[in-house]
Amino acid sequence: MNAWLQILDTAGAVLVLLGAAICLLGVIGMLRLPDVLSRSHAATKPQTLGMILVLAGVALRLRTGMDLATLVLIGFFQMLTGPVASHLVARSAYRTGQVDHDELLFDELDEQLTDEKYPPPARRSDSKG
Amino acid sequence: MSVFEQIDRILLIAAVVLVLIAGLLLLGRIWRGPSMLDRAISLDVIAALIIAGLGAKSALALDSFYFPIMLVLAFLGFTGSVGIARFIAVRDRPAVTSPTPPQPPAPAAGSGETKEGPR
Repeated sequence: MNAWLQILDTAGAVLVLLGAAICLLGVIGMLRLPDVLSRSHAATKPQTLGMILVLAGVALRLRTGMDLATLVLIGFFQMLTGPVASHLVARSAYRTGQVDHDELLFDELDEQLTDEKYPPPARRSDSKG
Repeated sequence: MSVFEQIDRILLIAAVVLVLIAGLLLLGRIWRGPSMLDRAISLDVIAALIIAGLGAKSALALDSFYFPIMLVLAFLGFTGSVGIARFIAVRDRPAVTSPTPPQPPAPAAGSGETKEGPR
């Protein structure tokens, strides 16, 4: 019985080390990638995968019900609030012209946002009165 | 028994050192980020790294003292980057590297002669 608990402890330590290594890899990607959108792609790796691995490792080492519930809540809120910030940053990057349009294969927002023939309808109806 | 605990301790200290190195590198990205949006993304990743570092420290010390701090960071860590992306990055336009110029704003009310405006 004690040997199984020891195996759980060591597996938790290995998971925490894996999560920390993935965090370091994502940060290296953030340093080396050239664009806002590609840096945002690299930034999601520490935010989701690395942190989920670290939380799973901590949950394997602290085997109490209250600690498990708190760790599940931490992971849930991080996965809930990450896409909101990422979406707003990417939207702001597109609208302020920091996206290289020649590098894109498909640009589905182009007709809706940046074509002069189709201005945003809400603003026009407001200005017309 | 003691050998395995020593192995766990070495692995967890290595994890804390990796998270610290990642944080120092990310400070470099915040220092020379070309636009405010890069700094906003870096702030998100800094919050995730603080959560990971506190988790590694909790796994090393086997206590749950810092779990409420991790919960608050996971809950409120995105507000800074949302504020930057919503209010600051619109005013702060750096030198754009893309060949296409920034698009003109939406036409005003007086210049709607050639276009069919909604009645």
